[in-house]
Amino acid sequence: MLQVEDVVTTYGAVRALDGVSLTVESGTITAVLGANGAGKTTLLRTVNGLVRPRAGRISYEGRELVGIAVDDVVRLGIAHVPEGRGVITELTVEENLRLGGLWRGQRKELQESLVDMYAMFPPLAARRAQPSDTLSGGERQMLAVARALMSRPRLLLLDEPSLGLAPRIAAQIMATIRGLCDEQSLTVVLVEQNARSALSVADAAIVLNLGRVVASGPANTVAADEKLRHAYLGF
Amino acid sequence: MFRFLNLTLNGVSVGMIYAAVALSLVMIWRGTRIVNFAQGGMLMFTTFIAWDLAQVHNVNYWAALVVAVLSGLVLGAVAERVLVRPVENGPPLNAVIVTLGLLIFLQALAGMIWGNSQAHSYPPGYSFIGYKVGNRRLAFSPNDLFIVVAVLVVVVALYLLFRRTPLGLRMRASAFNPEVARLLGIRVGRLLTLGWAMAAGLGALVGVLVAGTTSGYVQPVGPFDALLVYGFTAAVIGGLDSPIGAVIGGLLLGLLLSYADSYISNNVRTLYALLVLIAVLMIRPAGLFSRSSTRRV
Amino acid sequence: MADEIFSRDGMLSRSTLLRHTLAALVGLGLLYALINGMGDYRNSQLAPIAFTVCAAAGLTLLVGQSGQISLGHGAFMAVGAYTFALIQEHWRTSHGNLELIGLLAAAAVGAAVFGAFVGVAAARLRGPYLAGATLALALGLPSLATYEHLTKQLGGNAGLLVVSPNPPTGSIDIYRWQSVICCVSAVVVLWFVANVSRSRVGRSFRAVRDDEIAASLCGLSVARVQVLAFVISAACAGVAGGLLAIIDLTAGPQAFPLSLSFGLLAAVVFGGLGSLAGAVYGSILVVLLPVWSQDLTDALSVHSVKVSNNMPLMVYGVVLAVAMLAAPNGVQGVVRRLGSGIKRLAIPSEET
Repeated sequence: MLQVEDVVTTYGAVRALDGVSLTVESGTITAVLGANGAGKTTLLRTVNGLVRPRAGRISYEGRELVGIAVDDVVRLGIAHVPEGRGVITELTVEENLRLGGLWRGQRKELQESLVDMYAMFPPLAARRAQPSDTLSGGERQMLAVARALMSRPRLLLLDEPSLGLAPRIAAQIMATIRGLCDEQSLTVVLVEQNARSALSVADAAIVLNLGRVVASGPANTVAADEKLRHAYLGF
Repeated sequence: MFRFLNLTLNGVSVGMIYAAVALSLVMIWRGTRIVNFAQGGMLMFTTFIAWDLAQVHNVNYWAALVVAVLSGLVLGAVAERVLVRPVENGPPLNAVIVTLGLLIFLQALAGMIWGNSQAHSYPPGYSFIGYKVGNRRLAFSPNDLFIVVAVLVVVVALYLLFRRTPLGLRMRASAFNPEVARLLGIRVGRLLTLGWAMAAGLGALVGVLVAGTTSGYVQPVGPFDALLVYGFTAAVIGGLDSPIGAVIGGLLLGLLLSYADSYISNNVRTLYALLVLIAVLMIRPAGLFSRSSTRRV
Repeated sequence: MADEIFSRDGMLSRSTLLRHTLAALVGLGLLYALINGMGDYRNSQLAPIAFTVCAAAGLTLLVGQSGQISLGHGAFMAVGAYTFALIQEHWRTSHGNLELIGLLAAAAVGAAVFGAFVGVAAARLRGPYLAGATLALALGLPSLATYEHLTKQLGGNAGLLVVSPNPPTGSIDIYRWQSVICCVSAVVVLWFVANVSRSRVGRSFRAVRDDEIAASLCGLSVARVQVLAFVISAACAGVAGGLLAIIDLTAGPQAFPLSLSFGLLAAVVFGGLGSLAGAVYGSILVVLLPVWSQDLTDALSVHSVKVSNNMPLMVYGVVLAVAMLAAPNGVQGVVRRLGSGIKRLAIPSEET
């Protein structure tokens, strides 16, 4: 579904992505792993158009993504939950959710999606009218994911969802993501520093180091490779 | 006592003007983190257009007003797209200088088209003879009432727009977090342009309202410069981020200046505004209603 | 020997002072020749350019080096002018030149003190807040002269009368003399500002401009540095105000409209924020603009007074906006970029 070919992204003189290639199969969860600064977030930002690559191609369901404006990408069915969640704290929970679905323009569909999200994430329903800066970290992550789902995407890009969350909550989020993938055949690209928890739900994985791919393959193969784990994944 | 009442009424009607200018500045500040120093010049220009139509070509007051607001919308949109967009994300000094350049340009252009020397009067929408109460005349006329009502209507309309409509939600999101908004498919650029257009349209309305008061007149350099300072001061009092603050700040400033003019001295209004501004910036720089106390001044 | 030359207080840093002093002397010489060579008309243009340079140099220090915006530098000039006039009213000696120097120094000090107040008030302000506050200052301060309880002391709308110092009898005419006064002052101010800029004080300005937090971690008191920048730049503007009073023979509120402050800012922006050479170019531009605009409108056979009157203003506005959009580093920046562009052609390029 998503094909990244030899993408090079630079910030000034720094090569954050140095020829990265990746194939994501429809309906799977692909984990993107590696240490801090390896280029994981840059990869997502490049796919989403927040950053323009120096070289390489990115195709999504046959369409070339490079050069498409950021605000158009979501219209293609790709939703991005950025690092740090990107919850707009000045707005209420419901307003954040609505924002996710606004581009579609259909009021009825928006209402239906809203009802679905509240059913999927009851804590959000309980806090729907509250300003979102009153939410806990786990609830904010839920909100960010729910907001992304409001646009009924086919591809979900998740950047470090477990960041700053207690392990139990992080595990819940991971389980929810796995559930979504199974039930709705949502394709997910999951960037994570917490490699162990990511590998436990992912189907495939790639490992980045200093902007290059150092390993890729089915998740359990990557997880089983002890040398790899010690070198790049920290466990 | 009666004098106090009159001063208060005067303060309210003038205060609504300041509130409206403050509101335009706040709208632009929230969207683009820029203070539009050209606001005074923009509203001067649109008021001149209206004056030209009304006084010279005998167009109906209301039609002239509508034309002024429309030209304000256009002027604001063009200014954002052409001048401000390139400097939106740079150092604040650049944006300040660009808006200043626009201000000066508009003053010069107005002077070239309509001349500098004359202070033209503008026909008011309603009578500006004060209402009679018993056998005394209030310093509050039908025109003043019109000003107060007009600004209130606009304020309420804007409130409803921002709080209750999808468009308003998009605009707020674009202002609070443009990057996330873009990720959600919101056309942030277009909304910023719209924000400027609306602010300029509001300014155009203010310009026509002010021009039609007893002390109002139309001239390229003069009355509208001070208006920017009053509007800015009112916005700072309320907190540059807060639209409600802008309205309350405007009223407070209007009242303060009205009393000071009468009880202290009536030549130095801009000086009072300066003193109020300094006082607020020293005591509570974030303003009375700013949401986050950590916002740096 | 090497230690002596390269140590912090060694010859090398002293040589900056030497260099500047040499440049100043050469400048004085050139200007003297220029003044003598030009007629009255040109000299009457040179004087305003020279005092604008004084104010622009100060503003360059404030905006370009310490990174603080001031839209109200005209107010400091006003304080300088009024100080000059007030002290002149109450103090006359028979030593013409000494009196002149004393009065200008007083103008500088008066403006500097005011600058200290403004600096303290402004120390907590940044960006547009500072701009708005200084704009309010530019509008509000001159109206103080019309405050009814002070009209007697401050002369109201008409302002205070100023007596222009006479040239040493018989040597040169009044226009040349005024040019001399202004040019000497300009050279002195430039020399002073150049030295401040190269000194530890100047470095502290730039440190605070570039990164306040880092600067305060290095032990600099950010507020004090910012106030000092205001004080010095106000003093320069005060000198300019005193010179303006001499030429106008008055110190009145009409001489300090908002467009004066805008013109100063335009001069600094055009020259390139932070560059003293730029302050000079900018001042020349700003003063000669009305003349050139007049010539321009004549050449275009536009016979409208309205257009020719407003042409300088329009050019200011366009210059400000375009300069920021196209060349945020001003003329100096363009010159520098051309210079480095040429260098890159000459040296084989390396991969970026």
